[in-house]
Amino acid sequence: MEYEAATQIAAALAIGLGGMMPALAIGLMASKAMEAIGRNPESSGNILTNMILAIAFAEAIAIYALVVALAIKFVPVTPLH
Amino acid sequence: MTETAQKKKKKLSPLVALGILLALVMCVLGLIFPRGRELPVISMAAERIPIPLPLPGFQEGFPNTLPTALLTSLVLSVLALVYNLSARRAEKTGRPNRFLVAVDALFEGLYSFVENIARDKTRALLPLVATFFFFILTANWMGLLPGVGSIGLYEEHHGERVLVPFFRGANADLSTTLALAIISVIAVQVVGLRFQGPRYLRKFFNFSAPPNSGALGPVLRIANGFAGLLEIISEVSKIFSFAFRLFGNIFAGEVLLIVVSFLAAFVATLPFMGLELFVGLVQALVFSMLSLVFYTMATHHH
Amino acid sequence: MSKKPLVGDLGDAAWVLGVGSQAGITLAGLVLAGLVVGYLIDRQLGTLPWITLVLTLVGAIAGPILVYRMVTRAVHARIEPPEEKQDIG
Repeated sequence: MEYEAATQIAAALAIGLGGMMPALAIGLMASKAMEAIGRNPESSGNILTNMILAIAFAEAIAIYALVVALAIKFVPVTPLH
Repeated sequence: MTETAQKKKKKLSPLVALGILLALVMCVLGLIFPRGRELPVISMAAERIPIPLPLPGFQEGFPNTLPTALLTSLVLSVLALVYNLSARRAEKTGRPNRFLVAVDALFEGLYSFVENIARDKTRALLPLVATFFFFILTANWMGLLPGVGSIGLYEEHHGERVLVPFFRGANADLSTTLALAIISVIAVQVVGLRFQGPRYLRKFFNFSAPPNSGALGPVLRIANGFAGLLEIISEVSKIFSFAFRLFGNIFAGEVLLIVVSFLAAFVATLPFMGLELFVGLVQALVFSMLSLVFYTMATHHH
Repeated sequence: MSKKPLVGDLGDAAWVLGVGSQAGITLAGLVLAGLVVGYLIDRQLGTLPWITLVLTLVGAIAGPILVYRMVTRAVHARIEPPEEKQDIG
């Protein structure tokens, strides 16, 4: 395959596939946190802190995927001689 | 025959009729011109309109997000002026007009919003946060107006014919968002210094340890000093995150609209325009809300 | 005056969204900043790849610490101050 075509496909796949799992993870965490807050509204401060921390870790993975996609797309690679 | 006589005929208001007519025209146009004629060329940096000015940064031309940003400021100033005149007239006659009532309601909503987070310091922090909110909101929404991003000149870049638009959404340029982020983070330091005095700098340079820690004293001092250094790094990472979050969202929205208009000209862009309106509002909200959180955190110490 | 729930309306949604995205970008950005700064220093000094690795690890360790401090401080600034606590009836 040509280099340009491979670059485009690789960048698109990197961000596309890399964003699926973090999105799922954030959705699951947020829904569990909502359930827990609904069951026990007094501890919502505690639950909120931990929920935001966990969401931060999941989102960091998505940002790694974004950086890899951008690097593939914009950093030209010359073949080794 | 009495049933048809009893059926009330609903009159269509002229605005709704015009809207339906426009939608039908769009559908017909979208079927006649189903695909774009030229490939869209998307550039991350703001394209330069070829008016070389003898100023230091503008030798190659004028970046096309700058007229949009100036237009945004102009629109906001004009709205403020209209509000001022309406308020003066309402004071004299005692009857407020609808624009006045609408802006007052919007402002009250914003006030209660800010009060939710910064409880007793709302009056000091509200002007800054509201300015960020209104500027970013207007700049985001002005990037969706017809003509922005589509009216421009044709130029030759690297041998191919490229459209250089005259206007481009102001936040679709990393310069604008970086400037807003730097202003916001410097404002955090200013707010902290103003409300806490020089004690605010203890957050960054903190080489103290609890007095009765004995042999563990120096280790705790180094740990606290390291934590202070981390705070400085944290401020820098705030600039980075503010700028890239706003830029990424608005630029990605613009790219999405360009590509969708290329694929299916008039009809299919409607839901994406709605998405862009929503994203513009949410990003303005998140920027100002996060700035407010940092200002509030800077006003009362640990 | 009833005790307001900590997360309830549009303002709180924007607050959670903002703090969460700030924390995520900080976490990833610090690792990347460590990587980039380490690479630049290595290119100047010519000692690839050791300083790169060390600074990347420093970034990866500093990231979660910073995020933890920022999130706990933001939530503490948000919770109702203790003077307004009422009896749970």
